[in-house]
Amino acid sequence: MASRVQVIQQDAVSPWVDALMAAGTIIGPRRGPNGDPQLAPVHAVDELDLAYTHDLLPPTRYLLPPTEILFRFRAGDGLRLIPEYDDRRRIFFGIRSCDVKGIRYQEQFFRRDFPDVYFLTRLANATLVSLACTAPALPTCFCPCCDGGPLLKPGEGHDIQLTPLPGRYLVEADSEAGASLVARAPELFRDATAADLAERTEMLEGIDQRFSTTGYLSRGISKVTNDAVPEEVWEELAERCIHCGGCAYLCPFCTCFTVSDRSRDGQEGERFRRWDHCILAGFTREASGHNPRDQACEQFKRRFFHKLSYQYLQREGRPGCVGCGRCLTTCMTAVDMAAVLMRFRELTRKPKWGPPWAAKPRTSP
Amino acid sequence: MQRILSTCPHCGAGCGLYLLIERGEVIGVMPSAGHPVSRGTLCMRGWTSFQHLRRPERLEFPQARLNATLTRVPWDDALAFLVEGLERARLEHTGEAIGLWASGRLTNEELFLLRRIASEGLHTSAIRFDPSLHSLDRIPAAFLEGPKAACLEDIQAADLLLVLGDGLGEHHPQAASRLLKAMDQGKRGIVIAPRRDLLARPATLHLQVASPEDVLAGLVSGGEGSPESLPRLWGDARSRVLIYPLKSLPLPRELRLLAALERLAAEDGTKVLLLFPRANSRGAYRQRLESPRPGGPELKALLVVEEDPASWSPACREMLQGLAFLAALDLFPTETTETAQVVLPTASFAEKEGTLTNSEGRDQQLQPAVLPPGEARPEWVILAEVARRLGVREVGSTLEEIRSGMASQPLTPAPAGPAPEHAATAATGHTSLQHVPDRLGWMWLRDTVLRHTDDWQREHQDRWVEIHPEDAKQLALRPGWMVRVTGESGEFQARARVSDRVARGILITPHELLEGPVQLERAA
Repeated sequence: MASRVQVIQQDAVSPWVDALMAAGTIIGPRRGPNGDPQLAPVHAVDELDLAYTHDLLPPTRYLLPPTEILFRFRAGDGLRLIPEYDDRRRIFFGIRSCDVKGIRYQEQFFRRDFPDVYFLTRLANATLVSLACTAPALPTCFCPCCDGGPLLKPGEGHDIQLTPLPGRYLVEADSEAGASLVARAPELFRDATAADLAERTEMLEGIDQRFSTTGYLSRGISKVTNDAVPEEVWEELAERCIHCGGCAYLCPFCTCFTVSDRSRDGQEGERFRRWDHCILAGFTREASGHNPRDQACEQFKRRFFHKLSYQYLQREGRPGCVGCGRCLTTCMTAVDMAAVLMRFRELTRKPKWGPPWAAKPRTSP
Repeated sequence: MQRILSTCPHCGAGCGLYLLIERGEVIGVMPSAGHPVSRGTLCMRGWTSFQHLRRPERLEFPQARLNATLTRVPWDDALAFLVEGLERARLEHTGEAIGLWASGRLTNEELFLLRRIASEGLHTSAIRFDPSLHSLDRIPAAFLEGPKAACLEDIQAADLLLVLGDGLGEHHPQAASRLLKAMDQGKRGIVIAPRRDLLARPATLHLQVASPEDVLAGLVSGGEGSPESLPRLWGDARSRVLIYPLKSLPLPRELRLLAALERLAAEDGTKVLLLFPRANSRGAYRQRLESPRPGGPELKALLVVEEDPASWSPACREMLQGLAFLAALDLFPTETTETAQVVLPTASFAEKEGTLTNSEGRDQQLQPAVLPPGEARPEWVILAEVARRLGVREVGSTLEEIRSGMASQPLTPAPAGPAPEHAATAATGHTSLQHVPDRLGWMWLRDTVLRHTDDWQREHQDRWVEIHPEDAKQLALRPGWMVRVTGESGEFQARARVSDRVARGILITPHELLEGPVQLERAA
């Protein structure tokens, strides 16, 4: 898609969103109770708050909801299955770059092997308007070190990207769907001038340095891939985990779910899937009785292997983290992605746990 | 997807959470980032708190026992049976013939209505609020209000943190989280508990003993019998917060610990943070009667609200079966509802309005997000109707009216502190293993709502006993084997967890029936 850069003034955003409401439900940032920012249906443009930080619930949870009914079933004259698809039109307005990356990763996951019609139907009806970050949305964000943001390049999965400049936004459509949103109110846009673009270049200069947490993901990847993290360190970290599940439920990358049936009489009911969590013992219960402590450690380890080891990195084409920082907020015991990576970093700094390379190289679990 | 702010219905922390609503159903929950307790976090109980709502075994219709079987009846008839059963017991028997037992999960408005039913409708004081918390009436008021009462935020401000008990990560994660982060940052912490849990590692001192109340008593008497470093750490600190999860010790020992805490808290700069087990245990404390009676042999009729006493012990079950009349209000069928003459279906936390008071004394709202299934009704609606039918005047028909009644009725004055009592000394048997029950773990395992919460149930289906590797070696037990634990009052089977987190000679299980010396062997 040819990248034609346009400009919309800040005060023209409201009329634009007004014009978009006919095209689908606007899911945009609003301020909820307790000052919590929320990506929620916007019914009136003045609810929209583009100066928001981060919604704790990633927009991927609109596409892979916490619980969704897959189909209803009815016995009787033969079994009848009545599938449920959600094909409501949604425009995600002002979502962060990291979340766009999360959505595109999940798309890749749900297209593989058996295309997941539930996820893909929702995605096919979604338009993604991303909002570039010119500074960390939250102090806990670390997207630059894991290719999660702070802004998207053409072809990275957004339909339109908005880049804030003083008093206005640069608007770059990256798909037909994106261009059609601009076409709904073309009078609100003008072409960007050389001065606009120069201003952007200037603003983007050294943007990565504005993020406090820098390049430790790559080091974590090498540690995990080479199995250079001593067992005691994994144990120390796993022992702190209280298995709440929050990091997985809120991760824009995680796709774990469990499928169950619900029926009162066995004659009529529904099959649903619900978010799940690889750290929970029951998620991959083994028939034999393992020592739960070792098991808990193995599960903890596996989660980080999946996110960081080269084996998965090769398959997915990117590390399993976009640096959104949600797990840093939701982890009660500080064993989130950043805390774990920081702990790995200590391994090289202070060889408190003995030389890590003394551990025999093994294959990943 | 709509979000409705509400409060977690499980422990005394009272996390603020959003119910995620899609097409009239709660499809998930998430924490509120701006809420002062949850701060963007929830534990497994919180994250799974929506999963019981649409379980097919929910009670949906009022039932009454007709010809020995529970049969669906109209609401009006069920309420008439209930009122008649209670009235008859009142007329036919003298003394405290009628009892009311109500869960610490109920809202303040509901507990208030029960209080009025007891005192104005039935004229009984055989009332138990949050009956699993035996020390409820004996908690020193000074730990809850005033300069000695700590809140969660005080953890960050104190010099020294003294944690009495283990398993906070599991049972009181919000307190555990704050303690852990404070100790990570170098704050000094002392943990007195039989098991080495996640707080023991960063703590300055971990006293691995089974009886924290003895250590505290030693500290009160000037450090006698406690390790040297304890009085020193205590003395060096200018401000201290003592944290105790209520219900983690049996009653006499808990009272002894509370008495020691009172003495210690008298020192300058010392505060106490009591962690209440249930979402509204603290509200139950506030609404309790001045001199409640637990209900003994003279009990003839009982109204049980969202508790399952039949599952507590064989003796309790027998007592219930011997009653002339038993009525139960609950979300799910339980052993108690199976025995009851009248069973009324109630609404879950996401289906009703009301206030809960957390451990710190924060009054928080429940917000109705969805409709209860079938004909189930919020407890306050049911209880207001029962009160009216029992002749209680000016009950009020809306929550606002009920609340205005609450404001005008004085609450029970705070009791004096607990009388120091002697601990029931554990009999020293010849067995080398001493059973230390994880009482809060037991409470959650028996919880009527969690038993119907899919993921929580999946993760907690195995009963376990935790023993030290040396003990396991001596008994020739391997991790994961099924073992039989036999004590004086019975036996049970569980899977062996072998870990050096427990001290030698100690065995920990979430089972409160057997206490003290036990035998352990491999189950056939």
